[in-house]
Amino acid sequence: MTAWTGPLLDAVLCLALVLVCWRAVNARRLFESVALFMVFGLLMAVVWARLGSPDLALAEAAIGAGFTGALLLVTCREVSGDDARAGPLPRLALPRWLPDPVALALCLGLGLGLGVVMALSLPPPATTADAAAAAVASHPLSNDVTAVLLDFRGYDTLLEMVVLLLAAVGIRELVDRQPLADPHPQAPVAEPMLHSLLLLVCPLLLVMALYLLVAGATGPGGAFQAGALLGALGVLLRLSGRLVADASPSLPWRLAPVAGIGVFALLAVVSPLLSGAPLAYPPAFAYPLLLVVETALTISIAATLVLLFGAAPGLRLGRRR
Amino acid sequence: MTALYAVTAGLLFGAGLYGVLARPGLIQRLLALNVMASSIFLYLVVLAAGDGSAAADPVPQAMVLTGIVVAVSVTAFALGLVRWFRSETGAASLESDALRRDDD
Repeated sequence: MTAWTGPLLDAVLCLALVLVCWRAVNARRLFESVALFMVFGLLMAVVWARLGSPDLALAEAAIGAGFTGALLLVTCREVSGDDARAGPLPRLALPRWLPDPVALALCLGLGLGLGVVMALSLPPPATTADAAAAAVASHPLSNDVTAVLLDFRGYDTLLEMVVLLLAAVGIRELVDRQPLADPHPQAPVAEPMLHSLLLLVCPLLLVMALYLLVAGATGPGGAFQAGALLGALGVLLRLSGRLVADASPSLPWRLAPVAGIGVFALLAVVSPLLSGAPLAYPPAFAYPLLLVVETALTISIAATLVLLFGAAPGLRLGRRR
Repeated sequence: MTALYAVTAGLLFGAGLYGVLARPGLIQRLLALNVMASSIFLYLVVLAAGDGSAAADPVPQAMVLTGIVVAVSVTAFALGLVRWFRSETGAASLESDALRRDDD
Protein backbone atom coordinates (compact mmCIF):
# COMPACT_ATOMS: atom_id res chain seq x y z
CA MET A 1 0.00 0.00 0.00
CA THR A 2 1.50 3.32 -1.00
CA ALA A 3 1.59 6.29 1.34
CA TRP A 4 -1.58 7.98 0.15
CA THR A 5 -3.94 5.01 -0.27
CA GLY A 6 -4.29 4.49 3.49
CA PRO A 7 -5.49 8.02 4.34
CA LEU A 8 -7.67 8.01 1.21
CA LEU A 9 -9.33 4.76 2.33
CA ASP A 10 -9.86 6.26 5.80
CA ALA A 11 -11.43 9.39 4.35
CA VAL A 12 -13.76 7.40 2.06
CA LEU A 13 -14.74 5.10 4.93
CA CYS A 14 -15.51 8.00 7.28
CA LEU A 15 -17.57 9.77 4.62
CA ALA A 16 -19.48 6.58 3.80
CA LEU A 17 -20.11 5.90 7.49
CA VAL A 18 -21.59 9.35 8.10
CA LEU A 19 -23.71 9.31 4.91
CA VAL A 20 -25.05 5.77 5.41
CA CYS A 21 -25.76 6.46 9.07
CA TRP A 22 -27.57 9.68 8.17
CA ARG A 23 -29.75 7.89 5.61
CA ALA A 24 -30.42 5.01 8.01
CA VAL A 25 -31.57 7.40 10.72
CA ASN A 26 -33.64 9.51 8.34
CA ALA A 27 -35.13 7.11 5.80
CA ARG A 28 -38.89 7.40 5.57
CA ARG A 29 -39.52 3.67 5.24
CA LEU A 30 -38.53 1.33 8.03
CA PHE A 31 -37.23 -1.33 5.65
CA GLU A 32 -34.84 1.19 4.11
CA SER A 33 -33.56 2.14 7.55
CA VAL A 34 -32.95 -1.48 8.50
CA ALA A 35 -31.19 -2.33 5.23
CA LEU A 36 -28.95 0.74 5.56
CA PHE A 37 -28.25 -0.09 9.19
CA MET A 38 -26.88 -3.47 8.08
CA VAL A 39 -24.67 -1.68 5.55
CA PHE A 40 -23.56 0.61 8.38
CA GLY A 41 -22.59 -2.47 10.44
CA LEU A 42 -20.49 -3.87 7.59
CA LEU A 43 -18.75 -0.50 7.13
CA MET A 44 -18.01 -0.48 10.86
CA ALA A 45 -16.46 -3.95 10.47
CA VAL A 46 -14.12 -2.56 7.80
CA VAL A 47 -13.27 0.37 10.10
CA TRP A 48 -12.37 -2.03 12.93
CA ALA A 49 -10.07 -3.88 10.56
CA ARG A 50 -8.49 -0.55 9.51
CA LEU A 51 -7.95 0.39 13.16
CA GLY A 52 -6.09 -2.87 13.79
CA SER A 53 -8.82 -4.81 15.63
CA PRO A 54 -9.61 -7.93 13.55
CA ASP A 55 -11.37 -9.46 16.59
CA LEU A 56 -13.81 -6.58 16.59
CA ALA A 57 -14.23 -6.72 12.82
CA LEU A 58 -15.29 -10.38 13.07
CA ALA A 59 -17.66 -9.71 15.95
CA GLU A 60 -19.19 -6.64 14.31
CA ALA A 61 -19.77 -8.41 11.00
CA ALA A 62 -21.39 -11.41 12.71
CA ILE A 63 -23.28 -9.74 15.56
CA GLY A 64 -23.56 -6.04 14.75
CA ALA A 65 -24.48 -6.32 11.08
CA GLY A 66 -25.68 -9.91 10.76
CA PHE A 67 -27.57 -10.82 13.88
CA THR A 68 -28.96 -7.38 14.78
CA GLY A 69 -29.95 -6.96 11.14
CA ALA A 70 -31.81 -10.28 11.14
CA LEU A 71 -33.61 -9.33 14.36
CA LEU A 72 -34.62 -5.94 12.95
CA LEU A 73 -35.75 -7.47 9.63
CA VAL A 74 -38.06 -9.95 11.36
CA THR A 75 -39.67 -7.20 13.43
CA CYS A 76 -39.80 -4.99 10.34
CA ARG A 77 -41.76 -7.68 8.48
CA GLU A 78 -44.15 -8.00 11.39
CA VAL A 79 -44.98 -4.28 11.55
CA SER A 80 -44.91 -3.73 7.78
CA GLY A 81 -48.72 -3.90 7.56
CA ASP A 82 -49.19 -1.02 10.02
CA ASP A 83 -48.60 1.75 7.50
CA ALA A 84 -51.09 0.28 5.06
CA ARG A 85 -53.69 0.01 7.84
CA ALA A 86 -53.30 3.32 9.63
CA GLY A 87 -51.43 5.46 7.11
CA PRO A 88 -47.69 6.15 7.21
CA LEU A 89 -46.16 7.70 10.29
CA PRO A 90 -44.99 11.29 9.99
CA ARG A 91 -41.26 11.53 9.39
CA LEU A 92 -40.69 13.47 12.59
CA ALA A 93 -42.08 13.51 16.10
CA LEU A 94 -40.57 16.69 17.50
CA PRO A 95 -42.48 18.90 19.96
CA ARG A 96 -43.94 22.10 18.52
CA TRP A 97 -41.48 24.39 20.32
CA LEU A 98 -38.54 22.63 18.67
CA PRO A 99 -38.58 23.04 14.87
CA ASP A 100 -36.73 20.45 12.84
CA PRO A 101 -33.84 22.65 11.60
CA VAL A 102 -33.10 23.74 15.16
CA ALA A 103 -33.10 20.15 16.44
CA LEU A 104 -30.91 19.10 13.53
CA ALA A 105 -28.44 21.93 14.06
CA LEU A 106 -28.32 21.24 17.81
CA CYS A 107 -27.69 17.50 17.42
CA LEU A 108 -25.16 17.73 14.59
CA GLY A 109 -23.47 20.73 16.22
CA LEU A 110 -23.18 18.80 19.45
CA GLY A 111 -21.83 15.81 17.54
CA LEU A 112 -19.30 17.86 15.60
CA GLY A 113 -18.19 19.70 18.74
CA LEU A 114 -17.86 16.42 20.57
CA GLY A 115 -15.88 14.97 17.67
CA VAL A 116 -13.47 17.92 17.56
CA VAL A 117 -12.96 17.83 21.34
CA MET A 118 -12.36 14.07 21.18
CA ALA A 119 -9.93 14.47 18.28
CA LEU A 120 -8.00 17.19 20.14
CA SER A 121 -7.87 15.24 23.38
CA LEU A 122 -6.50 12.02 21.88
CA PRO A 123 -3.63 10.87 24.07
CA PRO A 124 -0.14 10.93 22.57
CA PRO A 125 0.72 7.66 20.84
CA ALA A 126 2.74 4.84 22.40
CA THR A 127 1.16 5.03 25.84
CA THR A 128 0.12 1.41 25.59
CA ALA A 129 3.35 -0.11 26.90
CA ASP A 130 2.02 -0.22 30.45
CA ALA A 131 1.83 -2.96 33.05
CA ALA A 132 -1.28 -4.55 31.51
CA ALA A 133 0.35 -4.86 28.10
CA ALA A 134 3.43 -6.43 29.66
CA ALA A 135 1.27 -8.91 31.59
CA VAL A 136 -0.70 -9.76 28.44
CA ALA A 137 2.51 -10.35 26.48
CA SER A 138 3.55 -13.24 28.76
CA HIS A 139 0.10 -14.89 28.80
CA PRO A 140 -0.41 -18.49 27.57
CA LEU A 141 -3.00 -17.16 25.10
CA SER A 142 -1.13 -15.17 22.51
CA ASN A 143 -4.27 -13.36 21.31
CA ASP A 144 -4.21 -10.29 23.60
CA VAL A 145 -7.92 -9.56 23.30
CA THR A 146 -8.94 -13.09 24.30
CA ALA A 147 -6.47 -13.02 27.18
CA VAL A 148 -7.95 -9.77 28.47
CA LEU A 149 -11.53 -11.02 28.04
CA LEU A 150 -11.10 -14.33 29.82
CA ASP A 151 -8.35 -13.65 32.32
CA PHE A 152 -7.45 -10.05 33.16
CA ARG A 153 -11.00 -8.73 32.86
CA GLY A 154 -12.86 -11.96 33.56
CA TYR A 155 -15.37 -10.07 35.72
CA ASP A 156 -16.53 -8.03 32.73
CA THR A 157 -17.13 -11.14 30.66
CA LEU A 158 -18.95 -12.88 33.52
CA LEU A 159 -21.29 -9.91 33.97
CA GLU A 160 -21.79 -9.62 30.23
CA MET A 161 -23.01 -13.21 30.18
CA VAL A 162 -25.44 -12.21 32.94
CA VAL A 163 -26.73 -9.35 30.74
CA LEU A 164 -27.22 -11.75 27.83
CA LEU A 165 -29.08 -14.20 30.07
CA LEU A 166 -31.19 -11.38 31.53
CA ALA A 167 -32.29 -10.35 28.03
CA ALA A 168 -33.31 -13.95 27.28
CA VAL A 169 -35.17 -14.28 30.60
CA GLY A 170 -36.85 -10.92 29.98
CA ILE A 171 -38.08 -12.02 26.54
CA ARG A 172 -39.33 -15.28 28.00
CA GLU A 173 -41.24 -13.37 30.66
CA LEU A 174 -42.82 -11.15 27.99
CA VAL A 175 -43.84 -14.15 25.90
CA ASP A 176 -45.26 -15.86 28.99
CA ARG A 177 -47.43 -12.85 29.80
CA GLN A 178 -48.73 -12.32 26.32
CA PRO A 179 -48.13 -14.90 23.61
CA LEU A 180 -46.74 -12.99 20.63
CA ALA A 181 -47.37 -14.19 17.11
CA ASP A 182 -44.58 -16.56 16.07
CA PRO A 183 -43.28 -15.11 12.78
CA HIS A 184 -41.26 -18.22 11.92
CA PRO A 185 -42.41 -21.44 10.22
CA GLN A 186 -43.80 -24.13 12.52
CA ALA A 187 -42.54 -27.08 10.47
CA PRO A 188 -39.61 -27.68 8.11
CA VAL A 189 -40.01 -25.72 4.90
CA ALA A 190 -39.80 -28.28 2.08
CA GLU A 191 -38.01 -26.28 -0.60
CA PRO A 192 -35.52 -28.44 -2.52
CA MET A 193 -33.09 -25.53 -3.08
CA LEU A 194 -33.30 -24.47 0.56
CA HIS A 195 -32.56 -28.00 1.70
CA SER A 196 -29.45 -28.32 -0.43
CA LEU A 197 -28.31 -24.86 0.67
CA LEU A 198 -28.64 -25.90 4.32
CA LEU A 199 -26.75 -29.13 3.63
CA LEU A 200 -23.95 -26.99 2.25
CA VAL A 201 -23.96 -24.07 4.68
CA CYS A 202 -24.57 -25.79 8.04
CA PRO A 203 -21.40 -27.93 8.14
CA LEU A 204 -19.43 -24.93 6.87
CA LEU A 205 -20.74 -22.68 9.66
CA LEU A 206 -20.03 -25.39 12.23
CA VAL A 207 -16.43 -25.82 11.06
CA MET A 208 -15.92 -22.03 10.93
CA ALA A 209 -17.26 -21.66 14.47
CA LEU A 210 -15.00 -24.42 15.80
CA TYR A 211 -12.05 -22.88 13.98
CA LEU A 212 -12.73 -19.42 15.45
CA LEU A 213 -13.11 -20.94 18.91
CA VAL A 214 -9.73 -22.70 18.79
CA ALA A 215 -7.98 -19.96 16.80
CA GLY A 216 -9.14 -17.39 19.35
CA ALA A 217 -6.29 -18.48 21.61
CA THR A 218 -3.60 -17.33 19.21
CA GLY A 219 -5.17 -15.15 16.50
CA PRO A 220 -8.33 -13.23 15.67
CA GLY A 221 -11.38 -15.08 16.92
CA GLY A 222 -12.71 -16.34 20.23
CA ALA A 223 -15.86 -17.25 22.08
CA PHE A 224 -17.90 -14.25 20.91
CA GLN A 225 -17.19 -14.66 17.23
CA ALA A 226 -17.64 -18.44 17.38
CA GLY A 227 -20.86 -18.05 19.38
CA ALA A 228 -22.21 -15.54 16.87
CA LEU A 229 -21.51 -17.94 13.98
CA LEU A 230 -23.15 -20.84 15.81
CA GLY A 231 -26.03 -18.48 16.56
CA ALA A 232 -26.28 -17.68 12.85
CA LEU A 233 -26.53 -21.42 12.19
CA GLY A 234 -29.40 -21.59 14.68
CA VAL A 235 -31.10 -18.58 13.07
CA LEU A 236 -30.85 -20.29 9.68
CA LEU A 237 -32.40 -23.48 11.07
CA ARG A 238 -35.12 -21.43 12.78
CA LEU A 239 -35.97 -19.50 9.60
CA SER A 240 -36.23 -22.74 7.63
CA GLY A 241 -38.40 -24.45 10.26
CA ARG A 242 -35.77 -27.02 11.26
CA LEU A 243 -35.95 -25.58 14.78
CA VAL A 244 -39.39 -24.65 16.10
CA ALA A 245 -40.58 -22.97 19.30
CA ASP A 246 -41.07 -25.19 22.31
CA ALA A 247 -43.07 -24.00 25.32
CA SER A 248 -41.42 -26.52 27.66
CA PRO A 249 -37.80 -26.84 26.52
CA SER A 250 -35.77 -29.97 27.07
CA LEU A 251 -32.89 -30.12 29.54
CA PRO A 252 -30.10 -29.27 27.03
CA TRP A 253 -31.95 -26.15 25.94
CA ARG A 254 -32.39 -25.15 29.58
CA LEU A 255 -28.71 -25.75 30.38
CA ALA A 256 -27.16 -24.18 27.27
CA PRO A 257 -27.94 -20.50 28.08
CA VAL A 258 -26.50 -20.80 31.60
CA ALA A 259 -23.47 -22.99 30.74
CA GLY A 260 -21.14 -19.99 30.36
CA ILE A 261 -22.14 -18.36 33.62
CA GLY A 262 -22.12 -21.75 35.35
CA VAL A 263 -18.58 -22.63 34.32
CA PHE A 264 -17.33 -19.10 35.05
CA ALA A 265 -18.98 -19.06 38.48
CA LEU A 266 -17.58 -22.51 39.28
CA LEU A 267 -14.14 -21.24 38.32
CA ALA A 268 -14.60 -18.17 40.52
CA VAL A 269 -15.37 -20.47 43.49
CA VAL A 270 -12.61 -23.01 42.83
CA SER A 271 -9.80 -20.73 41.61
CA PRO A 272 -9.02 -19.12 45.03
CA LEU A 273 -8.18 -22.62 46.30
CA LEU A 274 -5.92 -23.37 43.31
CA SER A 275 -4.23 -20.06 42.59
CA GLY A 276 -5.08 -17.78 45.49
CA ALA A 277 -7.32 -15.27 43.69
CA PRO A 278 -10.87 -15.49 42.29
CA LEU A 279 -11.07 -15.90 38.50
CA ALA A 280 -7.31 -16.39 38.25
CA TYR A 281 -6.04 -19.45 36.45
CA PRO A 282 -3.39 -21.74 37.96
CA PRO A 283 -0.47 -21.42 35.54
CA ALA A 284 0.04 -25.19 35.21
CA PHE A 285 -3.29 -25.79 33.43
CA ALA A 286 -4.28 -22.31 32.32
CA TYR A 287 -4.67 -23.27 28.67
CA PRO A 288 -7.05 -26.27 29.07
CA LEU A 289 -9.11 -24.35 31.64
CA LEU A 290 -9.37 -21.34 29.34
CA LEU A 291 -10.45 -23.62 26.51
CA VAL A 292 -13.21 -25.14 28.69
CA VAL A 293 -14.41 -21.66 29.69
CA GLU A 294 -14.36 -20.47 26.07
CA THR A 295 -16.30 -23.51 24.87
CA ALA A 296 -18.97 -23.00 27.54
CA LEU A 297 -19.18 -19.29 26.66
CA THR A 298 -19.56 -20.14 22.96
CA ILE A 299 -22.42 -22.57 23.63
CA SER A 300 -24.17 -20.07 25.90
CA ILE A 301 -23.80 -17.14 23.51
CA ALA A 302 -25.05 -19.20 20.55
CA ALA A 303 -28.02 -20.65 22.45
CA THR A 304 -29.02 -17.28 23.92
CA LEU A 305 -28.80 -15.53 20.55
CA VAL A 306 -31.02 -18.16 18.93
CA LEU A 307 -33.53 -17.94 21.79
CA LEU A 308 -33.52 -14.13 21.53
CA PHE A 309 -34.06 -14.35 17.79
CA GLY A 310 -36.93 -16.80 18.13
CA ALA A 311 -38.44 -14.92 21.11
CA ALA A 312 -39.34 -18.34 22.48
CA PRO A 313 -38.74 -20.04 25.83
CA GLY A 314 -37.10 -22.98 24.12
CA LEU A 315 -36.59 -24.70 20.81
CA ARG A 316 -36.82 -28.25 19.50
CA LEU A 317 -36.25 -29.95 16.18
CA GLY A 318 -39.11 -29.39 13.75
CA ARG A 319 -40.86 -32.52 12.50
CA ARG A 320 -42.34 -32.78 9.07
CA ARG A 321 -46.13 -32.91 9.28
CA MET B 1 -5.79 9.42 10.71
CA THR B 2 -7.18 8.74 14.18
CA ALA B 3 -8.35 12.38 14.51
CA LEU B 4 -10.55 11.86 11.43
CA TYR B 5 -12.14 8.80 13.04
CA ALA B 6 -12.69 10.73 16.28
CA VAL B 7 -14.56 13.49 14.41
CA THR B 8 -16.57 10.80 12.58
CA ALA B 9 -17.46 9.23 15.94
CA GLY B 10 -18.76 12.62 17.12
CA LEU B 11 -20.85 13.11 13.96
CA LEU B 12 -22.31 9.59 14.24
CA PHE B 13 -23.22 10.34 17.86
CA GLY B 14 -25.01 13.52 16.75
CA ALA B 15 -26.90 11.74 13.98
CA GLY B 16 -27.93 8.97 16.36
CA LEU B 17 -29.08 11.48 18.96
CA TYR B 18 -31.17 13.24 16.32
CA GLY B 19 -32.75 9.92 15.37
CA VAL B 20 -33.59 9.06 18.97
CA LEU B 21 -35.17 12.48 19.52
CA ALA B 22 -36.88 13.12 16.21
CA ARG B 23 -38.11 9.83 14.73
CA PRO B 24 -41.57 8.65 15.76
CA GLY B 25 -41.13 4.89 15.16
CA LEU B 26 -39.85 2.89 18.12
CA ILE B 27 -37.77 0.60 15.89
CA GLN B 28 -36.16 3.62 14.21
CA ARG B 29 -35.30 5.00 17.64
CA LEU B 30 -33.76 1.70 18.65
CA LEU B 31 -31.74 1.74 15.46
CA ALA B 32 -30.53 5.27 16.17
CA LEU B 33 -29.59 4.19 19.70
CA ASN B 34 -27.45 1.44 18.16
CA VAL B 35 -25.75 4.07 15.98
CA MET B 36 -24.93 6.07 19.14
CA ALA B 37 -23.48 2.95 20.75
CA SER B 38 -21.36 2.30 17.63
CA SER B 39 -19.99 5.84 17.79
CA ILE B 40 -18.86 5.33 21.40
CA PHE B 41 -17.22 2.01 20.42
CA LEU B 42 -15.47 3.80 17.56
CA TYR B 43 -14.02 6.40 19.93
CA LEU B 44 -12.87 3.73 22.40
CA VAL B 45 -11.07 1.84 19.64
CA VAL B 46 -9.54 5.07 18.29
CA LEU B 47 -8.19 5.65 21.81
CA ALA B 48 -6.77 2.12 21.78
CA ALA B 49 -5.29 2.30 18.29
CA GLY B 50 -2.79 5.10 18.96
CA ASP B 51 -0.97 6.19 15.82
CA GLY B 52 -0.85 2.70 14.32
CA SER B 53 2.85 2.16 14.94
CA ALA B 54 2.50 0.18 18.18
CA ALA B 55 0.14 -2.77 18.74
CA ALA B 56 -3.35 -1.64 19.77
CA ASP B 57 -4.16 -1.71 23.50
CA PRO B 58 -6.23 -4.88 24.04
CA VAL B 59 -8.25 -3.63 27.05
CA PRO B 60 -10.51 -1.14 25.21
CA GLN B 61 -10.90 -3.69 22.39
CA ALA B 62 -12.09 -6.31 24.87
CA MET B 63 -14.49 -3.77 26.39
CA VAL B 64 -15.90 -2.92 22.96
CA LEU B 65 -16.34 -6.64 22.23
CA THR B 66 -18.29 -6.90 25.48
CA GLY B 67 -20.19 -3.76 24.50
CA ILE B 68 -21.22 -5.21 21.12
CA VAL B 69 -22.72 -8.26 22.81
CA VAL B 70 -24.48 -6.14 25.44
CA ALA B 71 -25.84 -3.88 22.68
CA VAL B 72 -27.29 -6.86 20.80
CA SER B 73 -28.91 -8.17 24.01
CA VAL B 74 -30.45 -4.76 24.66
CA THR B 75 -31.67 -4.56 21.05
CA ALA B 76 -33.22 -8.03 21.19
CA PHE B 77 -35.00 -7.33 24.47
CA ALA B 78 -36.15 -3.88 23.32
CA LEU B 79 -37.51 -5.39 20.08
CA GLY B 80 -39.40 -7.89 22.24
CA LEU B 81 -40.83 -4.95 24.20
CA VAL B 82 -41.77 -3.19 20.95
CA ARG B 83 -43.60 -6.28 19.71
CA TRP B 84 -45.36 -6.57 23.07
CA PHE B 85 -46.26 -2.87 23.01
CA ARG B 86 -47.63 -3.27 19.49
CA SER B 87 -49.76 -6.25 20.45
CA GLU B 88 -51.20 -4.14 23.30
CA THR B 89 -51.75 -0.84 21.45
CA GLY B 90 -51.68 -1.83 17.78
CA ALA B 91 -48.82 0.52 16.88
CA ALA B 92 -45.02 0.39 17.02
CA SER B 93 -44.73 4.09 17.81
CA LEU B 94 -45.48 6.29 20.80
CA GLU B 95 -48.82 8.20 20.64
CA SER B 96 -49.18 7.31 17.00
CA ASP B 97 -52.76 8.57 16.75
CA ALA B 98 -51.88 12.05 18.02
CA LEU B 99 -48.92 12.15 15.63
CA ARG B 100 -51.00 11.17 12.65
CA ARG B 101 -53.57 13.88 13.47
CA ASP B 102 -50.80 16.48 13.71
CA ASP B 103 -49.52 15.49 10.32
CA ASP B 104 -52.79 16.29 8.52
